[in-house]
Amino acid sequence: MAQENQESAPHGVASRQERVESARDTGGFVQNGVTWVSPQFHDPGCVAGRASRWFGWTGAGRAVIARAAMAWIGGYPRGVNVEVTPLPGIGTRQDFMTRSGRRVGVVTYRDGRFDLIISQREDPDACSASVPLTPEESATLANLLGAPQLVAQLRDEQRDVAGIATKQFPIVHGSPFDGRTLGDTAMRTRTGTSVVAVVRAGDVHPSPRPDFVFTGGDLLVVVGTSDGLRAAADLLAHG
Amino acid sequence: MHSTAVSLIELGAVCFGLGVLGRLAWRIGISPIPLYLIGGLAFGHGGLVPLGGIQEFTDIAGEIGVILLLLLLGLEYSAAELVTGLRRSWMAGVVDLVLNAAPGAVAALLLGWGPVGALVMAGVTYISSSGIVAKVLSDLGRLGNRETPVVLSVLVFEDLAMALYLPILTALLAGVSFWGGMTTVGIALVTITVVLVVALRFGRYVSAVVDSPDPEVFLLRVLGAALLVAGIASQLQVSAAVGAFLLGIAISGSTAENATRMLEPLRDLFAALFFVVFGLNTDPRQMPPVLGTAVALAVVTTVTKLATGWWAASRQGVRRLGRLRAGAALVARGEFSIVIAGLAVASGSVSPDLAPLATAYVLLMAVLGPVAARVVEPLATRAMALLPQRV
Repeated sequence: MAQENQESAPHGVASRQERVESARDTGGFVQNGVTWVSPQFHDPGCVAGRASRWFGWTGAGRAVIARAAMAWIGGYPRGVNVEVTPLPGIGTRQDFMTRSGRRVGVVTYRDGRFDLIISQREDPDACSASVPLTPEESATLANLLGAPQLVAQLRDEQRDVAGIATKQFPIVHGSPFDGRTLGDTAMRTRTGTSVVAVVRAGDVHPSPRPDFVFTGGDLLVVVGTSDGLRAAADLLAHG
Repeated sequence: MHSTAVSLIELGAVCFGLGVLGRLAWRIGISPIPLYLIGGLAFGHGGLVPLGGIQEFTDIAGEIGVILLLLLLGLEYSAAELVTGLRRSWMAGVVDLVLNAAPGAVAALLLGWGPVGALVMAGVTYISSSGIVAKVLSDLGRLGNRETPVVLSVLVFEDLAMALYLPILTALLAGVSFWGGMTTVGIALVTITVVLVVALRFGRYVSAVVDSPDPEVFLLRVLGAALLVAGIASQLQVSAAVGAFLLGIAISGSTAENATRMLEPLRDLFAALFFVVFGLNTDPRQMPPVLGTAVALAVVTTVTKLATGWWAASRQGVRRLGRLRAGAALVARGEFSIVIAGLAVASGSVSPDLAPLATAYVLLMAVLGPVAARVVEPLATRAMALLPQRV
């Protein structure tokens, strides 16, 4: 299924222990203290996907209870409830209600095409926009939305360590390292910084090994001192 | 004796003419089905230019058109989708069935066409055109709307109902006794259950039989399997169309997707010829007397589909405007109404007025459906804006 590649992990601010457990339950994994959950919606229909995933519950009934409980405890649950609706003969619709009261989501066709959908303000049942996206375009959009989240999260984790910062750098098409490996950059040796993750097509590849091959459109998440990061930017731009 | 050259010229002219009509239809934003029917009417008995030499070919092409229409309908939904759809939306499906089959049946009884005629007309007015509906929904950018799953699940139910309805209809049209009819119903039920179970559990084996990495081999295998199954089903007194439909359900996963992609152009060609054949066999001079009935049926069944959509969408918590959109989307009737009428006409056991009535009805509904789906929203908003001023 093509859409699974497109789903990057959204993050709540759960305690680390909880995150580790939930990640194990749902087949995700924990890396550098960051949880990467790859959501897989096996249960078609309105599933409180997020709530059931955090608690490792799968029954729709339990999920409803979990959602109700969370609402009762106070305010909106930590995550976002992604509603998955099968569209027989067409594909699936996955959407969620934003805080501002509009539905945002995607319609995934069976042949792998996507429509980005945004509901109307006056009539939440209807769509004011339904934008067809090619796989490349949706991957780009996923990167744009997903990578800053990742960087923010890493920045939070490293706040305690003075002098360390996290930045994201794109590998643009035709850049010196488009098609070359991480090892080729000699980043650690030359700048003292580390590439902790690569975001590609909305998927996070954590701790890439030296033989990891970059392609145009990748976003590198790099950790280091501010001087090191400046050097890294220079290195990636000019080789 | 008709020469091959003349036949080729006639066939070429028909196909080219259909191409021109099809382009015209999409230009003005309606389904090409009514225009194909009109094309057939113009060429056939009592039409403007009677055609002679291609009767044999177009007849068998029309049959293949029906088989491909039903095969692709089966391919469209996986067995899992059918089962979950049935479980979740059976109430909406039953409401749809009762509301929309009743007008056709009542009209046929009033016209004195007897129970078999009533069954045929019930089918004609019941089934929405999933082809037109899907096209309209995606053209209007409504796939992400909340009422769309409701509309689609009603269509899924209708398709399952077709799988039960067609064998019963075929048996009754063949003039079997009551018990014979009950046996056919039993066989149909058992067959559908078996096919669904096989498709759910062993779908990949069925797919493996027809699957091939080579497109040419794949096309020949799928088409061959469909015609074989359809032929055998027809020999066993179950309708050929049902055989193809069930084969379509049993083929699943990526095989189904590839088959759909590959067979779509073929289906479009043969289905177009099927509509022409139906038009050819209908005498346009018989249409004016039934026009009044057709218009009355069109009005009533537009209202009943609107009511169906309204009710089904309201159960899912959709607001008023969305309920209207759901109802209007379902209004279109098309290919399957003609398939049903075609079966009835071919058997010769129904009133000769049935074909012109069904033609006139589908002509109206295939045009009205997309238009209704388009205008319902602006009309409703305008009406709502006017309403408070009067109060």
